[in-house]
Amino acid sequence: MRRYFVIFLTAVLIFITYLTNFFIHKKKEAGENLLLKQENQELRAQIQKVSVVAEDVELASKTAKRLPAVVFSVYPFNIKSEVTISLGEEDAIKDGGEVTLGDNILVGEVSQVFRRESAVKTIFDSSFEMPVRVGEKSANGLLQGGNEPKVILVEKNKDVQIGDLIYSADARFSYGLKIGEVNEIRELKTGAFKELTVKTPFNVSELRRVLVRISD
Amino acid sequence: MWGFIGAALVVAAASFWQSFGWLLWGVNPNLVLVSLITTSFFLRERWSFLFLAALAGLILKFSPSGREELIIIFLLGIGLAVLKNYLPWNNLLGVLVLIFLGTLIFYLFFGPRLIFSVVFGKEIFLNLALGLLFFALLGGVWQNKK
Repeated sequence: MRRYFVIFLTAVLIFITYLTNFFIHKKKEAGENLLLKQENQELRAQIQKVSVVAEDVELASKTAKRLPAVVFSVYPFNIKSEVTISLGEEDAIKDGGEVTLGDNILVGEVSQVFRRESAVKTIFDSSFEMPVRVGEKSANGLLQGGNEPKVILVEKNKDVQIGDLIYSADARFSYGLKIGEVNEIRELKTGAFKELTVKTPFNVSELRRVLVRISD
Repeated sequence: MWGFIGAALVVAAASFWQSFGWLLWGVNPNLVLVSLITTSFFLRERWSFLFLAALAGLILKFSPSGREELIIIFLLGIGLAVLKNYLPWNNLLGVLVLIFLGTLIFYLFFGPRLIFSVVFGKEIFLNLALGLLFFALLGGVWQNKK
Protein backbone atom coordinates (compact mmCIF):
# COMPACT_ATOMS: atom_id res chain seq x y z
CA MET A 1 0.00 0.00 0.00
CA ARG A 2 2.77 2.36 1.02
CA ARG A 3 4.68 1.61 -2.16
CA TYR A 4 1.68 2.47 -4.35
CA PHE A 5 1.26 5.71 -2.44
CA VAL A 6 4.92 6.61 -3.07
CA ILE A 7 4.54 5.74 -6.77
CA PHE A 8 1.43 7.92 -7.01
CA LEU A 9 3.16 10.84 -5.29
CA THR A 10 6.19 10.46 -7.56
CA ALA A 11 3.96 10.56 -10.65
CA VAL A 12 2.23 13.70 -9.35
CA LEU A 13 5.57 15.42 -8.68
CA ILE A 14 6.86 14.53 -12.15
CA PHE A 15 3.67 15.83 -13.74
CA ILE A 16 3.83 19.13 -11.85
CA THR A 17 7.55 19.61 -12.51
CA TYR A 18 7.71 18.81 -16.20
CA LEU A 19 4.22 19.33 -17.56
CA THR A 20 2.92 22.46 -15.83
CA ASN A 21 3.95 26.10 -15.48
CA PHE A 22 3.99 25.89 -11.72
CA PHE A 23 7.26 26.71 -9.98
CA ILE A 24 8.11 27.76 -6.44
CA HIS A 25 8.92 31.49 -6.34
CA LYS A 26 12.15 31.96 -4.48
CA LYS A 27 12.07 35.72 -4.17
CA LYS A 28 14.25 37.11 -1.44
CA GLU A 29 13.61 40.20 0.63
CA ALA A 30 16.03 43.09 0.23
CA GLY A 31 17.70 44.12 3.47
CA GLU A 32 18.28 47.79 4.16
CA ASN A 33 22.02 47.48 3.56
CA LEU A 34 21.49 45.95 0.14
CA LEU A 35 18.99 48.65 -0.87
CA LEU A 36 21.40 51.37 0.22
CA LYS A 37 24.27 49.71 -1.65
CA GLN A 38 22.21 49.50 -4.85
CA GLU A 39 21.05 53.11 -4.49
CA ASN A 40 24.65 54.15 -4.06
CA GLN A 41 25.68 52.24 -7.19
CA GLU A 42 22.83 53.80 -9.16
CA LEU A 43 23.85 57.33 -8.12
CA ARG A 44 27.47 56.60 -8.96
CA ALA A 45 26.42 55.31 -12.39
CA GLN A 46 24.39 58.48 -12.96
CA ILE A 47 27.36 60.70 -12.17
CA GLN A 48 29.74 58.68 -14.31
CA LYS A 49 27.32 58.75 -17.21
CA VAL A 50 27.32 62.55 -17.37
CA SER A 51 30.89 62.63 -18.59
CA VAL A 52 30.39 60.14 -21.42
CA VAL A 53 26.83 60.49 -22.73
CA ALA A 54 25.55 63.53 -24.60
CA GLU A 55 22.57 65.32 -23.09
CA ASP A 56 20.17 64.55 -25.90
CA VAL A 57 21.01 60.83 -25.80
CA GLU A 58 20.61 60.86 -22.02
CA LEU A 59 17.18 62.49 -22.33
CA ALA A 60 16.00 59.82 -24.78
CA SER A 61 17.13 57.12 -22.36
CA LYS A 62 15.40 58.78 -19.40
CA THR A 63 12.06 58.96 -21.20
CA ALA A 64 12.09 55.25 -22.12
CA LYS A 65 9.23 53.48 -20.41
CA ARG A 66 10.35 50.90 -17.85
CA LEU A 67 8.26 48.58 -15.71
CA PRO A 68 9.41 47.34 -12.31
CA ALA A 69 9.68 43.56 -11.87
CA VAL A 70 10.44 41.28 -8.96
CA VAL A 71 13.15 38.62 -9.38
CA PHE A 72 11.46 35.27 -8.72
CA SER A 73 14.37 32.90 -8.98
CA VAL A 74 17.95 32.44 -10.15
CA TYR A 75 19.23 29.77 -12.55
CA PRO A 76 20.76 27.30 -10.11
CA PHE A 77 23.70 25.92 -12.09
CA ASN A 78 27.02 27.36 -13.24
CA ILE A 79 26.34 26.72 -16.93
CA LYS A 80 24.61 30.04 -17.47
CA SER A 81 23.42 33.14 -15.65
CA GLU A 82 19.69 33.75 -15.80
CA VAL A 83 16.97 35.05 -13.55
CA THR A 84 13.20 34.72 -13.77
CA ILE A 85 11.21 37.93 -13.30
CA SER A 86 7.57 38.71 -12.59
CA LEU A 87 6.61 40.24 -15.96
CA GLY A 88 5.62 38.38 -19.12
CA GLU A 89 3.47 38.45 -22.26
CA GLU A 90 0.53 39.92 -20.38
CA ASP A 91 2.70 42.94 -19.52
CA ALA A 92 3.81 43.48 -23.13
CA ILE A 93 7.32 42.15 -22.46
CA LYS A 94 9.16 41.12 -25.61
CA ASP A 95 12.21 38.97 -26.31
CA GLY A 96 15.40 41.01 -26.22
CA GLY A 97 13.98 43.64 -23.87
CA GLU A 98 16.53 45.63 -21.89
CA VAL A 99 16.67 44.90 -18.16
CA THR A 100 18.34 47.32 -15.77
CA LEU A 101 19.03 47.86 -12.11
CA GLY A 102 17.67 51.34 -11.58
CA ASP A 103 17.83 53.54 -14.69
CA ASN A 104 21.53 53.33 -15.35
CA ILE A 105 22.98 49.85 -14.73
CA LEU A 106 22.55 47.10 -17.31
CA VAL A 107 21.55 43.69 -15.94
CA GLY A 108 20.90 41.86 -19.20
CA GLU A 109 18.21 41.10 -21.76
CA VAL A 110 14.95 39.16 -21.82
CA SER A 111 15.70 35.75 -23.33
CA GLN A 112 12.37 33.96 -23.00
CA VAL A 113 8.84 35.25 -22.38
CA PHE A 114 6.07 33.26 -20.71
CA ARG A 115 2.57 34.37 -19.95
CA ARG A 116 3.30 36.05 -16.60
CA GLU A 117 7.04 35.59 -16.20
CA SER A 118 10.19 36.02 -18.26
CA ALA A 119 13.71 34.70 -18.21
CA VAL A 120 16.52 37.26 -18.33
CA LYS A 121 20.02 36.42 -19.53
CA THR A 122 22.41 38.51 -17.44
CA ILE A 123 25.82 39.96 -18.32
CA PHE A 124 27.36 37.12 -16.25
CA ASP A 125 26.22 34.53 -18.80
CA SER A 126 29.18 33.09 -20.73
CA SER A 127 27.29 33.50 -24.01
CA PHE A 128 26.52 37.21 -23.39
CA GLU A 129 28.42 39.53 -25.73
CA MET A 130 27.99 43.16 -26.67
CA PRO A 131 30.01 46.10 -27.93
CA VAL A 132 30.97 48.55 -25.21
CA ARG A 133 32.97 51.73 -24.76
CA VAL A 134 35.45 52.51 -22.04
CA GLY A 135 36.25 55.77 -20.27
CA GLU A 136 35.96 59.39 -21.34
CA LYS A 137 38.01 58.73 -24.49
CA SER A 138 35.35 56.13 -25.53
CA ALA A 139 37.71 53.29 -26.38
CA ASN A 140 35.82 50.53 -28.19
CA GLY A 141 35.77 46.98 -26.90
CA LEU A 142 33.70 43.79 -26.78
CA LEU A 143 32.21 42.65 -23.49
CA GLN A 144 32.40 38.89 -22.92
CA GLY A 145 30.10 37.64 -20.20
CA GLY A 146 30.93 34.98 -17.66
CA ASN A 147 31.56 34.56 -13.93
CA GLU A 148 34.23 37.21 -14.39
CA PRO A 149 33.16 39.40 -17.32
CA LYS A 150 35.89 40.98 -19.38
CA VAL A 151 36.28 43.42 -22.24
CA ILE A 152 38.40 42.24 -25.13
CA LEU A 153 39.58 43.78 -28.41
CA VAL A 154 40.52 47.13 -26.86
CA GLU A 155 43.16 48.73 -29.04
CA LYS A 156 46.53 48.88 -27.31
CA ASN A 157 47.08 52.54 -28.18
CA LYS A 158 43.82 53.63 -26.49
CA ASP A 159 44.26 55.30 -23.13
CA VAL A 160 42.34 53.31 -20.49
CA GLN A 161 42.74 53.61 -16.71
CA ILE A 162 41.71 51.46 -13.78
CA GLY A 163 38.34 52.71 -12.55
CA ASP A 164 37.19 53.95 -15.99
CA LEU A 165 33.51 53.50 -16.74
CA ILE A 166 32.54 50.65 -19.10
CA TYR A 167 29.22 51.39 -20.76
CA SER A 168 26.89 49.97 -23.39
CA ALA A 169 27.37 50.84 -27.05
CA ASP A 170 25.03 48.25 -28.51
CA ALA A 171 21.96 49.14 -30.57
CA ARG A 172 19.93 46.60 -28.56
CA PHE A 173 20.28 48.67 -25.39
CA SER A 174 20.10 52.30 -24.32
CA TYR A 175 23.40 54.00 -24.96
CA GLY A 176 25.57 54.66 -21.92
CA LEU A 177 24.18 52.08 -19.48
CA LYS A 178 26.84 51.17 -16.95
CA ILE A 179 28.28 47.66 -17.20
CA GLY A 180 31.00 48.21 -14.62
CA GLU A 181 34.44 49.72 -14.13
CA VAL A 182 37.87 48.68 -15.28
CA ASN A 183 39.35 46.42 -12.60
CA GLU A 184 42.52 45.26 -14.27
CA ILE A 185 44.28 45.91 -17.57
CA ARG A 186 46.03 43.01 -19.27
CA GLU A 187 48.47 43.90 -22.01
CA LEU A 188 48.63 40.91 -24.32
CA LYS A 189 52.13 40.14 -25.57
CA THR A 190 50.94 39.39 -29.09
CA GLY A 191 48.40 41.24 -31.19
CA ALA A 192 47.18 44.79 -31.28
CA PHE A 193 44.70 44.57 -28.41
CA LYS A 194 44.53 44.54 -24.66
CA GLU A 195 42.03 43.00 -22.30
CA LEU A 196 40.21 44.49 -19.32
CA THR A 197 38.59 42.70 -16.41
CA VAL A 198 35.37 44.24 -15.19
CA LYS A 199 34.36 45.22 -11.68
CA THR A 200 30.58 44.96 -11.75
CA PRO A 201 28.26 47.06 -9.56
CA PHE A 202 26.07 44.08 -8.58
CA ASN A 203 25.99 40.29 -8.18
CA VAL A 204 23.20 38.15 -9.59
CA SER A 205 22.44 36.82 -6.12
CA GLU A 206 21.75 40.42 -4.95
CA LEU A 207 19.05 41.09 -7.53
CA ARG A 208 15.61 41.63 -6.00
CA ARG A 209 13.90 44.19 -8.24
CA VAL A 210 14.79 45.24 -11.78
CA LEU A 211 13.34 47.50 -14.46
CA VAL A 212 12.33 46.17 -17.88
CA ARG A 213 12.17 48.50 -20.84
CA ILE A 214 8.92 48.38 -22.77
CA SER A 215 8.99 48.99 -26.55
CA ASP A 216 8.44 52.66 -27.36
CA MET B 1 11.14 5.18 8.05
CA TRP B 2 13.46 7.58 9.85
CA GLY B 3 16.18 6.81 7.35
CA PHE B 4 13.92 7.83 4.48
CA ILE B 5 12.89 11.01 6.30
CA GLY B 6 16.55 11.84 6.89
CA ALA B 7 17.33 11.33 3.20
CA ALA B 8 14.32 13.42 2.18
CA LEU B 9 15.44 16.25 4.45
CA VAL B 10 18.97 16.16 3.00
CA VAL B 11 17.70 16.22 -0.61
CA ALA B 12 15.08 18.91 0.10
CA ALA B 13 17.55 21.13 1.96
CA ALA B 14 20.15 20.71 -0.79
CA SER B 15 17.56 21.56 -3.46
CA PHE B 16 16.40 24.68 -1.65
CA TRP B 17 19.95 25.84 -1.03
CA GLN B 18 20.81 25.40 -4.69
CA SER B 19 17.62 27.02 -5.94
CA PHE B 20 18.34 30.21 -4.00
CA GLY B 21 21.67 30.55 -5.79
CA TRP B 22 23.80 30.87 -2.65
CA LEU B 23 27.36 30.64 -3.79
CA LEU B 24 30.30 28.84 -2.25
CA TRP B 25 33.71 30.05 -3.34
CA GLY B 26 32.03 32.01 -6.15
CA VAL B 27 30.26 29.01 -7.74
CA ASN B 28 27.04 26.99 -7.35
CA PRO B 29 27.92 23.44 -6.28
CA ASN B 30 25.51 20.90 -7.76
CA LEU B 31 23.99 20.01 -4.41
CA VAL B 32 21.02 18.21 -5.93
CA LEU B 33 23.19 15.80 -7.90
CA VAL B 34 25.47 15.26 -4.91
CA SER B 35 22.59 14.61 -2.50
CA LEU B 36 20.79 12.26 -4.92
CA ILE B 37 23.91 10.21 -5.62
CA THR B 38 24.80 9.98 -1.93
CA THR B 39 21.31 9.02 -0.76
CA SER B 40 21.08 6.34 -3.47
CA PHE B 41 23.76 4.41 -1.56
CA PHE B 42 21.57 4.33 1.54
CA LEU B 43 18.05 3.88 0.21
CA ARG B 44 17.11 0.27 -0.59
CA GLU B 45 13.75 0.92 -2.20
CA ARG B 46 14.00 2.34 -5.70
CA TRP B 47 10.56 3.99 -5.57
CA SER B 48 11.64 5.99 -2.52
CA PHE B 49 14.67 7.18 -4.44
CA LEU B 50 12.54 8.10 -7.49
CA PHE B 51 10.28 10.11 -5.22
CA LEU B 52 13.29 12.06 -3.89
CA ALA B 53 14.59 12.69 -7.42
CA ALA B 54 11.17 14.01 -8.45
CA LEU B 55 10.92 16.16 -5.32
CA ALA B 56 14.34 17.69 -6.02
CA GLY B 57 13.23 18.58 -9.55
CA LEU B 58 10.15 20.39 -8.30
CA ILE B 59 12.01 22.38 -5.67
CA LEU B 60 14.74 23.29 -8.13
CA LYS B 61 12.37 24.35 -10.93
CA PHE B 62 13.35 27.93 -11.66
CA SER B 63 10.97 29.00 -14.44
CA PRO B 64 7.59 28.04 -15.92
CA SER B 65 9.12 25.74 -18.55
CA GLY B 66 10.12 22.12 -17.84
CA ARG B 67 13.74 22.77 -18.65
CA GLU B 68 16.11 20.23 -20.11
CA GLU B 69 18.52 20.67 -17.22
CA LEU B 70 15.99 19.36 -14.70
CA ILE B 71 15.18 16.38 -16.89
CA ILE B 72 18.88 15.51 -17.24
CA ILE B 73 19.48 15.88 -13.49
CA PHE B 74 16.52 13.55 -12.86
CA LEU B 75 17.77 10.98 -15.38
CA LEU B 76 21.37 11.32 -14.22
CA GLY B 77 20.31 10.71 -10.62
CA ILE B 78 18.44 7.56 -11.63
CA GLY B 79 21.10 6.33 -14.05
CA LEU B 80 23.93 6.75 -11.58
CA ALA B 81 21.86 5.11 -8.84
CA VAL B 82 21.55 2.05 -11.10
CA LEU B 83 25.25 2.18 -12.04
CA LYS B 84 26.29 2.09 -8.40
CA ASN B 85 25.17 -1.55 -8.20
CA TYR B 86 27.95 -2.50 -10.60
CA LEU B 87 30.82 -0.67 -8.96
CA PRO B 88 33.52 -2.90 -7.48
CA TRP B 89 34.63 -0.41 -4.82
CA ASN B 90 33.45 0.47 -1.34
CA ASN B 91 30.55 2.92 -0.97
CA LEU B 92 32.65 6.00 -0.22
CA LEU B 93 34.81 5.62 -3.33
CA GLY B 94 31.71 4.79 -5.35
CA VAL B 95 30.04 8.04 -4.22
CA LEU B 96 33.06 10.12 -5.20
CA VAL B 97 33.45 8.46 -8.62
CA LEU B 98 29.76 8.88 -9.43
CA ILE B 99 29.74 12.52 -8.33
CA PHE B 100 32.68 13.22 -10.62
CA LEU B 101 31.05 11.34 -13.48
CA GLY B 102 27.66 13.00 -12.93
CA THR B 103 29.17 16.49 -12.89
CA LEU B 104 31.19 15.79 -16.03
CA ILE B 105 28.17 14.41 -17.90
CA PHE B 106 26.05 17.41 -16.92
CA TYR B 107 28.68 19.78 -18.28
CA LEU B 108 29.06 17.70 -21.45
CA PHE B 109 25.36 18.20 -22.08
CA PHE B 110 25.01 21.87 -21.26
CA GLY B 111 28.39 23.55 -21.09
CA PRO B 112 31.16 21.56 -22.80
CA ARG B 113 33.21 24.74 -23.28
CA LEU B 114 33.26 25.27 -19.53
CA ILE B 115 34.91 21.92 -18.79
CA PHE B 116 38.33 23.51 -19.22
CA SER B 117 37.46 26.51 -17.08
CA VAL B 118 38.14 27.39 -13.44
CA VAL B 119 34.40 27.19 -12.75
CA PHE B 120 34.29 23.48 -13.58
CA GLY B 121 37.36 22.80 -11.44
CA LYS B 122 35.86 24.63 -8.47
CA GLU B 123 32.53 22.88 -8.88
CA ILE B 124 34.13 19.41 -9.03
CA PHE B 125 36.11 20.15 -5.89
CA LEU B 126 33.07 21.42 -4.00
CA ASN B 127 30.81 18.61 -5.22
CA LEU B 128 33.30 15.99 -4.02
CA ALA B 129 33.81 17.72 -0.68
CA LEU B 130 30.07 18.04 -0.10
CA GLY B 131 29.58 14.43 -1.19
CA LEU B 132 31.96 13.38 1.58
CA LEU B 133 30.03 15.51 4.04
CA PHE B 134 26.63 14.09 3.02
CA PHE B 135 28.04 10.56 3.09
CA ALA B 136 29.29 11.08 6.63
CA LEU B 137 25.95 12.59 7.65
CA LEU B 138 23.83 9.83 6.16
CA GLY B 139 26.28 7.17 7.29
CA GLY B 140 25.65 8.29 10.82
CA VAL B 141 21.96 7.55 10.31
CA TRP B 142 22.28 4.24 8.54
CA GLN B 143 25.74 2.92 9.43
CA ASN B 144 25.67 1.12 6.12
CA LYS B 145 28.88 -0.35 4.79
CA LYS B 146 29.47 -2.58 1.78
